[in-house]
Amino acid sequence: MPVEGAEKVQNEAAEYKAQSGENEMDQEANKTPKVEGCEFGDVVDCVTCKRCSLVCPTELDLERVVRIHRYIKDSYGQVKGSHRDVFRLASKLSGMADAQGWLTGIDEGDDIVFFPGCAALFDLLLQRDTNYSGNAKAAALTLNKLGYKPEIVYGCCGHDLYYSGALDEFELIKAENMEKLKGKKIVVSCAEGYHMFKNIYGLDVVGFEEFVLEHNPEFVNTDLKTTYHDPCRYGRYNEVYDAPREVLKKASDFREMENIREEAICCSVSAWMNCNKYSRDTRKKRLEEAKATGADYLVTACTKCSIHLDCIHFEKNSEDAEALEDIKILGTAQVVGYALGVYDPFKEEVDYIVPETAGKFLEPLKIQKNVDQYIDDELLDNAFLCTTCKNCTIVCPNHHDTASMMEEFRSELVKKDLGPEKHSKIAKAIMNTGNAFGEKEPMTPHPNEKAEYIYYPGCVANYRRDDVYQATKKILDLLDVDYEIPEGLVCCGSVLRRAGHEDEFQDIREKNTELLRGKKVICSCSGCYATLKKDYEGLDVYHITDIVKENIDKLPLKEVKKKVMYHDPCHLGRKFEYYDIPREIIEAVPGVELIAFEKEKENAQCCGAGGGVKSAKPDIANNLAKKKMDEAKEKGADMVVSACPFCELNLNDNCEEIPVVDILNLLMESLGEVKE
Amino acid sequence: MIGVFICFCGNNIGGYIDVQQLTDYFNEEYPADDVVAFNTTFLCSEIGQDLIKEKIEELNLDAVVIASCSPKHHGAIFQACIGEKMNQYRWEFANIREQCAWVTPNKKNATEKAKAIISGAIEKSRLLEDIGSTRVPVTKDILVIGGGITGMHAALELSAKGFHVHLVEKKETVGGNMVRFDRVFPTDDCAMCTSSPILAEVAMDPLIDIYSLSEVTEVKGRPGEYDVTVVKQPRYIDETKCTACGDCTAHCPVEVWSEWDEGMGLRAATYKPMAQAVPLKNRINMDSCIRCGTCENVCKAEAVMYNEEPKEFTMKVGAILVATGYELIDLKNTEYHQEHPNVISGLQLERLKVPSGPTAGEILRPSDGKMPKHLVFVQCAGSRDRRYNVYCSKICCMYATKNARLIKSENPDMKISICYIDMRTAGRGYEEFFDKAREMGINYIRGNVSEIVPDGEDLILKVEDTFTSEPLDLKADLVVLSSGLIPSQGTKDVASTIHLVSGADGFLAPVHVKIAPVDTATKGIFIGGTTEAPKPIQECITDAGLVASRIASFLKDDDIEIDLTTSKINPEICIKCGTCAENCVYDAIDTTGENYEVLDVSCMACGKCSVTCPTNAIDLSLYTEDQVIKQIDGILAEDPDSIIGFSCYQCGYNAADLAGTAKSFIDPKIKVVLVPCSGRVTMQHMLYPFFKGARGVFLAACLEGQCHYIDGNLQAKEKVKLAKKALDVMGVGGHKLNLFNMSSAEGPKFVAAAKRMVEICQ
Amino acid sequence: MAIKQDEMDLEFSKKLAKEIGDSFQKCFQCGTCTARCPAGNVSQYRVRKLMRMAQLGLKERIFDSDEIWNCTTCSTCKILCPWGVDTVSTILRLRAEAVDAGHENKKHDPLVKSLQSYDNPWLQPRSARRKWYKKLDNVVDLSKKPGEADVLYYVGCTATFDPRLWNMAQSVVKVLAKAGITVGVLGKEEKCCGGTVRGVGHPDIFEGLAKRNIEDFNNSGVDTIIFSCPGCLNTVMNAYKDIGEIKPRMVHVVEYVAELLEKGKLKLDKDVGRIITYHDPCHLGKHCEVFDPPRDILKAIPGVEFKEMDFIRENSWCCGAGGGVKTAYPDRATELASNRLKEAEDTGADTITSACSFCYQNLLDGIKQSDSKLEMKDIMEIVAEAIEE
Repeated sequence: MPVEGAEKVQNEAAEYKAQSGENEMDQEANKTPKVEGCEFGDVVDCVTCKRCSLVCPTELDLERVVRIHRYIKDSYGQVKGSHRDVFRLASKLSGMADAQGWLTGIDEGDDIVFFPGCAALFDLLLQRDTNYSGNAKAAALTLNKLGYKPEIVYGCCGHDLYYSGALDEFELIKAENMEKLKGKKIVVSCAEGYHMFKNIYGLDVVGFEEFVLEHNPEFVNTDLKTTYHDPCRYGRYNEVYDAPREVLKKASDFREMENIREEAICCSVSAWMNCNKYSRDTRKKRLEEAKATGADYLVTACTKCSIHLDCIHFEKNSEDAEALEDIKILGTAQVVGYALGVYDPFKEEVDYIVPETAGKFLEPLKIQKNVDQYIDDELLDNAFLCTTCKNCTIVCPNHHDTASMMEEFRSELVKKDLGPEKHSKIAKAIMNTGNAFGEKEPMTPHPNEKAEYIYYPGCVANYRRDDVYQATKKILDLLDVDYEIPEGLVCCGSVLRRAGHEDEFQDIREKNTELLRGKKVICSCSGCYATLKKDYEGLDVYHITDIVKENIDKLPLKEVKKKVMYHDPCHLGRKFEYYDIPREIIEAVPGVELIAFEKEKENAQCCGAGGGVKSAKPDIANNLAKKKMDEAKEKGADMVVSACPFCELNLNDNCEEIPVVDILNLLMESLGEVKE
Repeated sequence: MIGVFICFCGNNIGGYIDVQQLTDYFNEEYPADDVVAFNTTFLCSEIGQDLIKEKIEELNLDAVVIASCSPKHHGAIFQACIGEKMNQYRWEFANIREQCAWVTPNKKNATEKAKAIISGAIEKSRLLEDIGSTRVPVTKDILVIGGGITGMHAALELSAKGFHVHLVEKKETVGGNMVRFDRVFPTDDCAMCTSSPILAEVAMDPLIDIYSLSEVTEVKGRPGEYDVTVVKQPRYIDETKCTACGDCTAHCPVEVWSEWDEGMGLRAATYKPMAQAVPLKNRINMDSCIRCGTCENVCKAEAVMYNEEPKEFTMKVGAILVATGYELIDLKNTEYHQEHPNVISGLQLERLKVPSGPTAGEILRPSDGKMPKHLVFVQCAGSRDRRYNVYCSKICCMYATKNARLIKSENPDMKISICYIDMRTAGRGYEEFFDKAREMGINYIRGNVSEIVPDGEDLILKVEDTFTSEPLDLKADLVVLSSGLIPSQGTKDVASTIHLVSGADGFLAPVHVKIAPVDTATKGIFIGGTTEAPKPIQECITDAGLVASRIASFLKDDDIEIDLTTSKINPEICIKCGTCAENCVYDAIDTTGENYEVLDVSCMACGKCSVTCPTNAIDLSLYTEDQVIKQIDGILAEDPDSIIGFSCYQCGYNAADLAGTAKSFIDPKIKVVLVPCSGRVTMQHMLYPFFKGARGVFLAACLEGQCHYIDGNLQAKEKVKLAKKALDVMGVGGHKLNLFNMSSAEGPKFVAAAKRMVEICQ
Repeated sequence: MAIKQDEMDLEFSKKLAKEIGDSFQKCFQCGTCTARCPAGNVSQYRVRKLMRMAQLGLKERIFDSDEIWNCTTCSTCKILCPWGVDTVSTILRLRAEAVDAGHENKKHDPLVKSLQSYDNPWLQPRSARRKWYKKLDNVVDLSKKPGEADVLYYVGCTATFDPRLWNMAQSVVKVLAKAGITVGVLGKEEKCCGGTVRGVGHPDIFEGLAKRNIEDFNNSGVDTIIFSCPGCLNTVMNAYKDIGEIKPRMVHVVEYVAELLEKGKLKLDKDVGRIITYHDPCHLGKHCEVFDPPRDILKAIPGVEFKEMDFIRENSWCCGAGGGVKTAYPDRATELASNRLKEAEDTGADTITSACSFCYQNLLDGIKQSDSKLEMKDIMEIVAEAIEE
């Protein structure tokens, strides 16, 4: 759900420019800040931090999709966590056996339940001589100090299993935990446990920080200089933003970081899933932010955040580790314990014991994966809501390729014949006729074997937007570009891949590749361009605007007195950071006044048509297009220009007042060749 | 399609396992249907090999599983056979002879166990990949560290084969210990007469460069191309000018105990250790020099350079011979009281005996310069004793007898006793030599000297004459300790500079004591002589010849082939945290570039790098994380009650094989999983079997201090400690995970470990 | 006499090897042990030979000879052995086997009977245990008032029943009181630690005593037990391990006092004016590895000139009393004591001190026998002298 924070995230680019201190004219010319994107589209790379929900135009529930997708992949044995997956394994083992006590020196009773979580296991299995479990210890001691004798229930809340797709194992653990915890008031000192018990178990749970606030104790050591990192499970999942801050303000010398609350950057690994160089960069950024505040301690309310953020400190011979040496990580409970004088986070020894246990012999779990039980209408609905616009990638802390991940998930569903009927029809049409519209005629060829270039018109231009088709040809002629359209071309398959019809796509790709390989391919449609360039292999692909930009002087452009707005097609813009060339071409037309959309370039709002949404969920596509066009109307535009026939189609469908034309049409008008 | 080939091995397997039933099982009942099984009487025979080759071709197999004897036996044969038809690494073995047939008396149990072992191999083989090789150029120069008899001899042999040799010696002269002896057994030849021609030859050989007073401080690079840094200590005398005329020595006012003479004689501050020194140059020892300037004044060659600095230089070599030798154990302040002036070592006695030595060959006791009346040799001083060296120093029986004979023949009236535990005189002419000694009236007392008690200038030796069962108080006026041999300081230094593996005794370990006695675990680096173990001179010479031949074959071509069974890094997920590089003792991970990279030729494929990688970015070929997991899956799918025993290639696995060879009983629950090093076993490997229902997990690793990859077993020990605690926290029970240390020869230890695990996991 | 094939009971040897451990088979007859064996110096006892006979399983020959009863269990042989053969355990095991087979040493009979009847080897009634502290008013009987003292002082039978040693036991109380520590005892309820019966081959009686003692110790309500007899300490600390767990910490009084001195809780200010040498008791030194604390204490006493003998610490010669030798062969024990005293005299000391009731007794006898001018004092007596009244 887009919330207030979205605004800030969307304006990151603008801020960047403002910081560089250049005037507005220069800013336009200035290169848009590069999104250091990663091409990781695998579902295990998603950190489920929900930062994407700030900008998703269709407001889909990604976290749910990710979980089920991981469940499916886990059934193929394809889900592997970091650290050789040992932590998920430990969770499973803890669930199968009876986890044992490791907290010492606590005055125990039955006033309340305290659930210390798994930190001791992390300390052991990380092999790093750490004391993350100190946070639970500090929390328990704090409870004592506040006058409570807690009953300590050991075990694993199952968070990592739940979010890594080990849902069956999670259910077993959940059932066991419910036995122990049902009907009791539980305090946890870890955001993950809090989220799980509150939302997934539905238990009466209170976060440690809230609990401390309720009792308002007197703090004695308030000298630590702290800043606070919002764990996703507290923040975006539960909107617990204030309690930890209130506590830290009272218990220490507190200051804020740059990205906080809704916009907080994630610690970048979730449920011990994949860690990679992008997540490492994210962590580094986060620590730099913390250091910039002047704090000595980056405090967080989640043990996992502590561990991941601390990771950089264990790097060997690393400049970053040295530079960030003096920003240390603590848990909120550790700060509170210290402030109350009941816990010393700075003493050397790790303060927990491991009792020798008799242990039990474990029977291997007999789990039959049953994917169907998790597939319901809501999931399917969500799965096909994505327009693959990649706006989420921009705000994702790891710049994760969420769109590819969705495509992969859809293909899983399509394999089970669970895709929308519309998509299947289109797929069938493409397979039968070679185009998405089911037209019998093959794509019009333009034989010219000797040509250096191939023009690949694509279905929309070929069958529905003849104006674009003609315009392209005309302009290519004007620019003296020798081209051919080979016989036998079929749809590029973009819609197939986006909608999860992977097998069909492979077929199509093979057919086209054979015809297109070896020559320079020009596309006028952004969807085709993106598909040929990214989803095909070994092709040399250009967008028509590339060609035009190079030779714009050759075109005898005449004045067009119009206020024009440019709509960034997602598949051209965010996918290739292709923002400036179309704008330069538009501005090259004399008399044109270019007005910007409020959100543009990497923050541009999708037209709503992509990813099969236009066909499967037309209402949503139409609404988004309307929204976009309303803005154009408001801003008094005479014309909206884009570089993707598909966007234009959808936007045109939803606005009668203002024409939406292709950038080539604008050029044609300027060249005086507009045919009504 | 995976082909399983099961061997009857005559009756060796067929007598204990129902091979036909096993074959049928994999053909008919095994859950996966892409498995075909065949059997034959002797798989290693030509008929057996033809069967494998034929089926690979006929069925277009993706991988082969060989169920037969230990891979240590015929592994190479099968690899070559399979290599003819597909990539030579696309096969996996199932050791159903040593580790199944021979240790499981009940045929039904043995057959069931074999199913599990083979199933593990099948599942692992699914993840096998092609492994290629690469050729790297080599430098043809050779570095010999240590100019003792082994180093000199090897250098001469290599130069005779046309190689250029750099001979680095720590002392002022080459020659080592041998040139300090009087005579050598069993021929009583003069040691110097035997070695001086060698010294002269080495000195004049145009292909041998001698660096005296020099030490190797750093070795980098890879087999075939090592970058070596050497530091040469100043001689303070210009080697190019000095004529060794001796004027400076004659005028030097300083007199200090001479190291060359083991403190038995004096030297000046400027001296040459011996007349035959190579290079034949004087040296000023600044520890004793008072800088009076006399030598500078008298030196006609103007060679004195008081301000000379140490020099550092580098060289590129293709192979290295470590021949840094031994020294004697220091028994000062022990019950041997070596600090007493009249308790001397065997080497000190040699210096007294040498005609050119401080006493011109007279045996005079240090305290008063008088000829002793009763000379006692104390054998096994610091040898065969858990407090010092547990090993036998091999040469002492003979050298004590040699000196006793020589002294007795020159001084027939002197009483000479030798206190010994056992006389070990194995060798051609040795027993005759010992026989003669008794004939000469040398008094052999069988009893170990318990304590030497100083009694003024004399000494009382507490010893039992074990033949009469009476304690003796033996009064002596000169005691010669046949002190045990220990690795020299140079040997220890080189071991840490080049990362060579030492045994528990500190001597450097060859890759195989019997069949590769001069090769080390690091390709291109060789050892020889007393660097490997205490041994007499003729064995050192034998070593030198062998090592020269090994080096010559290693460097015969311009390049060498290296199989890429190494670790691999996935740069996409590597976060460059440096953990792997820190774990690698071979500097095989290049962290300087854009991405981390494994230097294939330096990688020894132990897999230690991968165990602590936080992101799973680095993995070892042939024993990948997933391959090991799959193997466990396969085993436990057949028999979930198993106890998984990760056994290291060098020791644990050998010990398990030996237990089989000895036909010991091992509970069929025990299933061995081979790993290159116990340090390769990850936390996941230790915990995962429990998740699949295993009863227990253990690691069979090398003895501490004897890991063939330096510290793999120590890392494993730390990990096991933590994993045990983790298992306790989880409630699984840490006692079900254990680490056992054993050497490759200790079959019974493996049996005991297996038994212990079965007891624990009941 | 030739050894006949059927004399060699290899099963017996195997059984010993199993009980004693790997080291039993490692003996390679080098004679290091015998060469330095104190008992071997004054008798026909040969450790090496005994080990060989045991390896061959010649049990009748072993039982028939009196060799096994000569060992003072001083452990010198075990420490010197190149292979760490556990000779002492072998001998104790052989003694137990001998007793089992009806070959007990008759000279030990009164001792064993006394233990069975009175819980002490001295043929004394239990109530006599209170005699030594009758005149002290600051000793708490923990058997009646558990937990009401700071430490439990386990006096041991020798110091309890030999009036010559009462001053030593009283000195312990005096020294501890000076440091503000309330001393508790078990009074009438104290029992022999069982070390002696264990030493002379009666592990069953020993075990019974051990169990009762463990119970007493755990019920005493203190967290530290102090011993002045190393024999008792060694027995309780090392031999009780397999029988039960003792919760309080166990220390020898010299360790405890050395700690008090180091922490400044005890101050010694009176000049004692003695030249002292220190004899390491085998059970304190070689068995429990306590070498430095007594030396630290002596060095801290004003007016003490401390001299070391030639054979000290691990190499110390035994006084000759241990292992039931004093009971069975008092002459040999005294002869060994005299040897040791001679060594002490050679240092020029006027006082020989030790930290063991047994050594105290035996060295005292040795002084009498050899007319030595040395004065025997326990180290605690010397410390008590250095305390201002």
